[in-house]
Parts: sequence; structure tokens; C-alpha cells
Amino acid sequence: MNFATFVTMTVDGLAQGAAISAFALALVLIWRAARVVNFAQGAMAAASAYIAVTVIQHTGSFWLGLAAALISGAIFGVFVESSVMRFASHTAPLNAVILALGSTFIIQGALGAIYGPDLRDPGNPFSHAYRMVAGVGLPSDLNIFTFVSVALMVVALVLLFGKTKLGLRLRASAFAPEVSRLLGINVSFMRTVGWALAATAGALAAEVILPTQLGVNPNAMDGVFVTAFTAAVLGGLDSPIGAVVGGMILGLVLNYVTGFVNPVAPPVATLVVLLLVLLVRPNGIFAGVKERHV
Amino acid sequence: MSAPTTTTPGSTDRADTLHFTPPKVRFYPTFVKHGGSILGLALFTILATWAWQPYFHGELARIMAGLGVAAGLTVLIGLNGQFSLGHGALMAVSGYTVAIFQKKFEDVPSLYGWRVVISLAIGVALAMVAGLIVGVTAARLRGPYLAGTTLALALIVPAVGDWWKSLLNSDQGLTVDIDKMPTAIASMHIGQVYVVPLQWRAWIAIFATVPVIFVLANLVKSRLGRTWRMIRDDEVAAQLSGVNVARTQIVCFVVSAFAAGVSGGLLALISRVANPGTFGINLGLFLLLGIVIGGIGSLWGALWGSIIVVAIPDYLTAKVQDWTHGNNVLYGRFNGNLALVLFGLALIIVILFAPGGIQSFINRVIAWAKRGFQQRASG
Repeated sequence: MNFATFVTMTVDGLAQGAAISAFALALVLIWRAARVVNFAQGAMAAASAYIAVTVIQHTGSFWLGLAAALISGAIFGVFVESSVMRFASHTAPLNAVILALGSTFIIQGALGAIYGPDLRDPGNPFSHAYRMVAGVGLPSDLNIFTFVSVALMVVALVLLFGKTKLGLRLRASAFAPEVSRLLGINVSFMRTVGWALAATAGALAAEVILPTQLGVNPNAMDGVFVTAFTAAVLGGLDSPIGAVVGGMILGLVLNYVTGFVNPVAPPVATLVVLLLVLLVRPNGIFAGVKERHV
Repeated sequence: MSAPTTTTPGSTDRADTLHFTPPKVRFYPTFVKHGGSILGLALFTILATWAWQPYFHGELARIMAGLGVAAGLTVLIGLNGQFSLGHGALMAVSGYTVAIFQKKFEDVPSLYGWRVVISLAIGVALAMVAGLIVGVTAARLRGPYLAGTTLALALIVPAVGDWWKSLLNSDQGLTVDIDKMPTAIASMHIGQVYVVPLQWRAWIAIFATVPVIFVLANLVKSRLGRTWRMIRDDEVAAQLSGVNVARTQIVCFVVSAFAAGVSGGLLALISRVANPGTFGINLGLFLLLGIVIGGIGSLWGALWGSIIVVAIPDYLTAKVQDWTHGNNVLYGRFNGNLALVLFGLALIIVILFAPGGIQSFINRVIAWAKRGFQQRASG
């Protein structure tokens, strides 16, 4: 293991981490809005990736496809929330998990029936090849695209939540739904908006993750879901910044495990990290002082 | 306040004053009743297999393999309030172990006929050890955290298969060797109809699953079972009344791992293969689906659930084959996916509108019928 390989591995790990962050953000946004871990996020992201594949096939433009993925992601978010998840009982948290799994079955079954069993090329034009500078592999075009698009999304979310009235309403209804309702905020609409934002983030995550995998298929994001869940738990599940940092850390860890231990080890490493976090610091590395009441 | 006068139950005095007829005292213990009904049902099914096509023998064997783990899972989720999407991994532990030991005992002639029992026992023991490890962790996790962790557990099966390639042979997995039917069984016949190998395999599945259901049915009605439900309903109250919550939850997890172990070994024996595809992520999801639709927390519900999860996809596969008229592209699209969509819809409908699933519907029909009889009898 020489220095050059290590640098390449780190760069790749950070890029993978950025992609995981985007997906983890999707989970955190929904958790904050509705106190639900969205187990259907993987299937929803796969669905928007398929939409992008179709659009790219017909128009030849990756950017139109990307836009279609993000918009359809938001629409899927609104649809899943308002047709199914809204009715989840708040007293039995596992019902929400089961409802999300039911939605997953429907989405994956429908995708399989519409697009068939073959793997599809996600249609991402950016090169996977590292820039070689004095024998050291520096970020590929795809890595840069990942960093930039995820960074843009994080900035957009920070501005939205921090600087706009909508963001204030979103935060208010997440933290004090009763008070917000009294102040005239339409809390259930805010929840729907939260789902739309989250699903958009998930769709972006699919667009940057799938080019590094075998191809688009209905189950393509299942493994990513668990990785992103681990990242979100690592960051505290309540904290968007935590999700980003957690995603980066996990991306690095998984890439080093791939390089130093065994290429097939990442799922095992994910489970180990998840268990360590939950058993040692269950509220994540960014946990506030206050205990969380669910 | 005067102490209530003690009367012997059933004396005319009490019945007259309170208009109260004491219930008939059950004079046989629960386990006799459970044992009787389970054995009766099993014997009936074994006899019934004589009238069936080999296709249904295969279905029955898989339903039985599903029943054990579904029953264990429905007790864990429905009665103890713990959640697991990772029972497929526990089944994998047992399935792979059975595959390995069937091979290992191949050349031991003195074990002939019994090696299935021994390797299944080893498989179940290892699955219970795995269940203990998972259970110790699970006892500290709640709600979506537990769901996510067990999902991560389910996803490591293929990775472990790859990692430990020399033993587990990655994606291809291991073939499971089983003995031929003993001659005593092979010569059994009703009229001219002899026992066929698939039928014998279905019997093995029944023999192995009956003790699992018997154990679970009795545990559910026992003191331990009441403690499980108590923790599900109110953890704090359980703790206050002296229940060691963590230990009780771990015991429940190990019991359900026992059921998963038996089923995992059976599944390997029936499908003659132990690979990540057999014990993948979908196995755990389909188990959850089955027990929710069947009626969560009910052993009967586990039976309906495993029948649905095994029989409906096979039925739909046959139907899709008819509908697509040999069009392989269309067949590839709808085979499996149609069942997936229908199951997803059913899952959502059951959770939102009929949380008790099929078994609660059956209970309601029985109660309605009983009321009808009573009214007719009294009026």
C-alpha cells in the first residue's frame, strides 16, 4: 500500500461519503418532519433514477434527466406521504416501518414490471477515470460532480431552512407541532413539504451513487439505504449537519475497509459501525444534551 | 366493611344471589390440549398428502418451513414488541450449518438416516447462539433503530458468503445432500399409492415444525408468555413489577431464533441448497409480510401467512405463464413483480384498516356464529 493509492482511496471515500450524505439527509429530513424513518426511501430513489434513465434515453440530455429525477423525486415524496405514510399511527412507531415496507414492495414491483429485469445504465456522462498527477490519482469528473452537486444541495437546504419563511415554518412544525398549529401553520402541509424535500435529496443521491454501481434496478438502493441509515444514526438522526459528517466518515471507513480488509467487507463494516454507535453513543456524535422523547 | 362470605363455587346460594354460573373447570392442562390439536392436525395433513400431487407436497414442505420461523417471528414482534427484519440471517446460520454437516457426515455409515437429525440439531443450536448475540443487542434498541439494525444484519449474508468463500462458496452457496427415503417409509402405501420422495420431504418438514409450534403455543400461554406481552404493552410497568425487561426480551429473541433455526435448516433441506439467494433480504421482508397479513401475534396467523407467502407467488407465476403465452419478455416483467405489488397493497390495507389480519377476521366470524347459536338456543 503506497501513498498514491492511499490518496486515491481517500478521495474516492470522500466522494462516496458525499453521496451517502445526500441519502442520509433524505432520511434525517423525514425523521425531523414526521418522526418516521423512511424505509421506502431506497425504492423511491430507484424510481426517480428510472425516470432519469427514460428522459435521458429520449432527449439525450443528462441535465434534463437529472432535473426529471429531482422533480419526480419530489412528486414521489408528496405522493407516498399523502397516500400512505400520513395515516401511520403515531402510537405504534413500527406501523410506519411496515407501511413504508409495503410502499417499497409496490414501487419495486411496479418498476420491475415497467422496466423489466435487466440492469439499466444510469446515463451519467462523467468519467470515472482519476486525474493522474505525478502518479497520484486525484478526483475523477464523477467525484467532482458528486462533491459539487451534494454541496449545492446542502447549501440550498441551509438557506431554505435558515433564511426563508417556509424554512422557519418547517423547523417550527418539526419541533413544536402543537404550538405551530396554534400559530396558524399548516403542520400537515409542512410535513408533506418535508417529504418532498427529503425525496428530492434521495433522488440526487441515487443520481450520484448509481453510476458507481452495476446499474439501475429496483433493488439498487437497498444496500445504500442501510449505509445511509448508519450514517444518519452516526450523526444523530436529528441533525442534518450530523448526517453530512456521518456520511463522510462512513464513506471513508467503507473505502478503507474495501482497500485494507476485503472488497466484500463493507456490509459487515456497516453493521459493525451501526452497532458501535447505537451501543456506545446512541444519540450520535452530535447528540445534544437533552434526551430525546419519541 | 364485612368480609365476603365464602361460598363453594357453583353452590346454588351464590348462583341464585348473583345470577352467576361459574365457568366449567378445565380439567386437562393446556399443553395436553395444544399437543392434541397440533398432533391431530399434523397427522391429518400427513394422511392428506396421499391424495395430493407432488406439486402440493413441495408447497406443503415450504409452507411448513415458513411456518416455524413465522410463528417465532410473530411471537417476537406481536407479543414481545421487538422487531426483526433479520430472521433470514438467523435461518442462514442454520441452513449453511446443515449443508456443511450433511456433507461432513456423508461417510459415516453408522449415522445413516439420522444425520439429518444431528445436523439440524447443530444448525438450530448455532442459530440460537446467533439469536442470543443479536438478542443481547436488540434488547437495547427500540423502534426504527432496531428495524434498521436487523435490516443491516439481513444484508450481510451475501457478504459473509463472499468473505468466507472457502467454507460458504459465495453466491453459489452449498448444495445440501440428503439421504434417500428409509426403506420402511418407501414401502408404505395406501392401496397402490406409494410414498414419493417429495411427500417424504414434506413429512420431514412437518415432523420438525410440530415441536416448534408446540413449544411456542405453550410458551405463549405460560407465565413467560404473559411477561412478554407485559413488556410489549408497557415496559415501565413491567420493570416496576419486577420483570427483568432486557433478560426477558433476550429469551424471547432466542426462542424465536430457535424457530428460525429449525426453519432455516428445513429450507436448506427442501430446496437442496444453501445460498445467499435463499436466505436473502427478501426472506425477512416476506416473513414480516406473511405474519402481518395473517394476523400479527397469532400462531394461526403465522400459518395463514406462510400459506399466503408460499402459495400465492407460485400461483401467480403459473397464471402469468398462461397470460403471457410464452412471451418471455412479458413473463420476465410480471413474474414475481405482480405478487410484489399485490403483497405491498395487502400489507398497507391490513395495517391501515384491519390490523388483526386474517386471524382476527376469522375470530370475528367465529364469535358471530357462536352468538347466533346462543341466541337460537335461548330464544
